[in-house]
Amino acid sequence: MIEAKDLSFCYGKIKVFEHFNLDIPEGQVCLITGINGVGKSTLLRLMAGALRPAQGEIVFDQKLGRDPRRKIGFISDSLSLYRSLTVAQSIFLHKSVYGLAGFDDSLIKHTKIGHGQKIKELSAGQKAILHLSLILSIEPEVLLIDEVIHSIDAYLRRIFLEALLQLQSQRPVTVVMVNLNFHDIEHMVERVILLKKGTIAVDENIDRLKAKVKKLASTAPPPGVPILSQIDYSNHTEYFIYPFRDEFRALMKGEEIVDLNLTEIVSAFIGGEYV
Amino acid sequence: MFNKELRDASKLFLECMVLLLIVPVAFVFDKYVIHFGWRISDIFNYVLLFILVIYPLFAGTLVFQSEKKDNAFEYLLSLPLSKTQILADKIIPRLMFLFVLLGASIVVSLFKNVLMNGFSLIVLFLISLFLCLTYTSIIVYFLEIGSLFWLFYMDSQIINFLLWRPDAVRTIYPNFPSQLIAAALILVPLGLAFWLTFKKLDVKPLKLQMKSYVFIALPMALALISLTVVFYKKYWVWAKVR
Repeated sequence: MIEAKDLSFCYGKIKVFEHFNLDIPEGQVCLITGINGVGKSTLLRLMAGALRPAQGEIVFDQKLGRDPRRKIGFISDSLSLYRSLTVAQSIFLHKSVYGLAGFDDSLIKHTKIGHGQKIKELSAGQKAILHLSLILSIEPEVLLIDEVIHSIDAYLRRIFLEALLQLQSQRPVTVVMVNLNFHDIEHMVERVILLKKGTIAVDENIDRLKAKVKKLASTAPPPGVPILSQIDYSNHTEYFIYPFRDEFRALMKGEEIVDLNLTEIVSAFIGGEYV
Repeated sequence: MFNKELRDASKLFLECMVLLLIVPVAFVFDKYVIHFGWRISDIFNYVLLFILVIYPLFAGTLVFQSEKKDNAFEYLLSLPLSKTQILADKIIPRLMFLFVLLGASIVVSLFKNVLMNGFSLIVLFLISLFLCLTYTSIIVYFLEIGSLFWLFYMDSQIINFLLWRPDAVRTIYPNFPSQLIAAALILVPLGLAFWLTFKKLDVKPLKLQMKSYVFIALPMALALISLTVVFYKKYWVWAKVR
């Protein structure tokens, strides 16, 4: 559905991507993560057409038509909308650009957003819900969602994620998310991509990734085991092991090997980068 | 998109029209405070002239104001609109109000001499439009526009002098073809730099996207300034005699 081909991009003299390749198949929910400044949002902006690659291209499935942006919904981390417009004006603008006859405002009714309210008066969560409503109105094939979920309160986050799940249950929508807080989205994600210095460091199915990353609390490093990162405490150290193999269990007799959730896995990888 | 731009353009137009309130205020101020003997038609004439300069200047300068102020470039560029369509939606409403102003100035000029001609206003609008992406500091920006407009004014006189030699002209005021050539000399490279920048415009910081201005518009401006300096002395000697 989305293919980054030999992509290169830089901000002035700062190279972000060089000959970068990535293929995301139709209907996949993909999470892109990595340390701050690694290029997660840049990659999403390149996919949305808000940034132009210096070299290479982003190719979309032909079913998206001549202008793929018609079927791409992009929510940036800055929740970019015309803040001086009212909600009604924003909806009108969106409808006129996409040539929509109607607009389903059921989602924004949950959030106490008035149609006469200006966008700049809305909270981050309300803006995110409004943006999602605008995007859902175009029946997107691709959803690109930057780090907005963590800035929404629990109630609006639930509405936001339920809307995404409902969309996913109706038809296969390709979702690419950039996030640093994974608790709420863990059950949705199928594939995890960890970026490191403009390249893909990890690209795994979430279940396989969970099987490959384990935690071990011990006073001494386990011998012959690849350590991804570690956290030192006063009386013991937590070792994150990657890639974990079943034969390691024999090496760590008596030690408790702990399964990790996505948040812990990603923080282990990110922690490894800072060490 | 057009509706939004029409609303923005009409807002600016109405803000400029509010300046007409200066006319009765200045008249009352003169009558009861300073007693300079200003006529209401004279005050109106100067205020209209001021509006005629201010509107195209700001209409061009503020074309991307809402995107810059609202941080909405990302949203705009993710919409399925071509760059040509975005530009057309932005320019047409602003030009419409400019022509309304020009129409008003023509009507007024039937009774009073309004010093600014319509073509100069369109040139002023286009210069400020083509420079709007380069805006970083207000002083530098208006200095740029002022210099280019001054260049247009000087070059149209010099071209008039060079192409329609003294014996062929009856006045030192440049004829329309001279203005057209001078405008083309400034606007074509400037417009090209603007279009090339705008065509590739993305959400990167604007200062990283100014290559076309550096390689096209800046050399053009320097070349024109050099030519103006070279020919100005000849022109001045001739103009003084006339």
